[in-house]
Amino acid sequence: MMRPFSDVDLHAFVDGQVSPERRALIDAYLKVTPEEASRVDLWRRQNEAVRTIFAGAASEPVPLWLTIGQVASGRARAPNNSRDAIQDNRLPRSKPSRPVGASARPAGVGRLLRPIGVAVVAFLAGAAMPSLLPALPTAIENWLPATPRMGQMRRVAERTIEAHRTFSVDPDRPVEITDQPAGALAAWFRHHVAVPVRVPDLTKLGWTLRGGRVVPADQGPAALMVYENAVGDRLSLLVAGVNNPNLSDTSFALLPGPTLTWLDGPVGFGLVTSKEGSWLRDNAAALYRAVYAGGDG
Amino acid sequence: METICDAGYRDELARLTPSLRRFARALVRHHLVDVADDLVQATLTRALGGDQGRRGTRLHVWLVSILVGLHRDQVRDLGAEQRIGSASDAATPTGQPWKSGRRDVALLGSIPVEYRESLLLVVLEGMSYAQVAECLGLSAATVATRVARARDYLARAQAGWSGGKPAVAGARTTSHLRLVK
Repeated sequence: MMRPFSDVDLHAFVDGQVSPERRALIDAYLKVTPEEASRVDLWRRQNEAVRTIFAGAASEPVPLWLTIGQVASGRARAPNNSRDAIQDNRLPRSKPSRPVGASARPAGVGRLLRPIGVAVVAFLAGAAMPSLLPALPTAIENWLPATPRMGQMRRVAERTIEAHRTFSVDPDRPVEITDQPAGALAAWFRHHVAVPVRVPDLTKLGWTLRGGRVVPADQGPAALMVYENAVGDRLSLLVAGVNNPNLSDTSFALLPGPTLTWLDGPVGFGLVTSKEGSWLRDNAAALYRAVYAGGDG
Repeated sequence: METICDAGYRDELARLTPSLRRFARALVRHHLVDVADDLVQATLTRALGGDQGRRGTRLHVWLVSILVGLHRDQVRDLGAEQRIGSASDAATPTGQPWKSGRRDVALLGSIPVEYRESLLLVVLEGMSYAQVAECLGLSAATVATRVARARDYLARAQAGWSGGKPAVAGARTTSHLRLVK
């Protein structure tokens, strides 16, 4: 028997490429030819499977290095190991001149002093922030204005405290992975966290890196790093994406908890420790510097 | 150096970036996130340096055609997927695989790249055969054939994966397409 519709017709039908009239004809044809109908049904299910499998990929937050501003400025991320397997010389990949995360990191003190009108707020029970870091509060206020940015900082602080209480204080298994070999943790975060994450070295402040894990946050997965000192206190550093519309803003606060929190463009930082509260305040500037100073990025 | 660029054009590129990432991820071997995102970055870089008059659907088609071209170069360089029907994705992935939670995701890799492109453009990007034809420099009829071929490969791979039981009447199972995952 001559088939009224070719396979090409049927595929076009599945893909919605036929006119309504033709669609109706094919529908009618499929009703009387179960074998053809089952093939068409398989193709439909294939389409749905492909769409379902990759649906999430389009709703993931675009990594910072893939945003148009970053691409346009010619910045590239650092090479990572997984690419070595599939190396491609043809792609115009500019040599990274800075480590991952460099783009979201303030270029030293100058940048921190630059912003005019940047709200630098601290919640301090009557104490002034140490004056070591010029970027630290120039206006000390013991109340927190309900600005959107402040809301973001609060959220980062809350997330940090939650993560600290949930994971970091666990005596035996505070972390999901350790930084073995060195750089493994940063690589792990690079794959799982949309914002750039550096793993700072806090040994000068008495803290040894235990490792880290990926934790949930408002804008997707965030990086939690856990440190420990000689007497077993724990310190948590959370790096999370934040919905900060003004990317050039940097804010800094010691929120109740206490949590040292700051925003750096689209990235929020939170620090919590089980050491007594004043330690965080006293060492705020040093911690802040250490987070940007290096370590493995 | 900053690329001088129309803000509206940038917005359009930013708007299209998520779907480009999705397409790239579906296209590349093992759906490696980094490899796919590198393609997207290269595509955006090229788009920023090119004619910025395109908008909307035309821009979309153009971006995808850039990405497909870069991917073909990559595949050619690798020499891994040149042979039609090579089950190259059966090789052990070495990069960071995308955690889709779906085993059947790897089946896409059993479709030769030139067929896979057409299928994914239609299914994921929602393009008409005519748009795919424009994008790939083919005739619409060739696109239709490629989409059909892609589905055949996929069906055979699915059949092979489900233990040799044909997924549909008439679909043959071919052992070399069996998944090793």
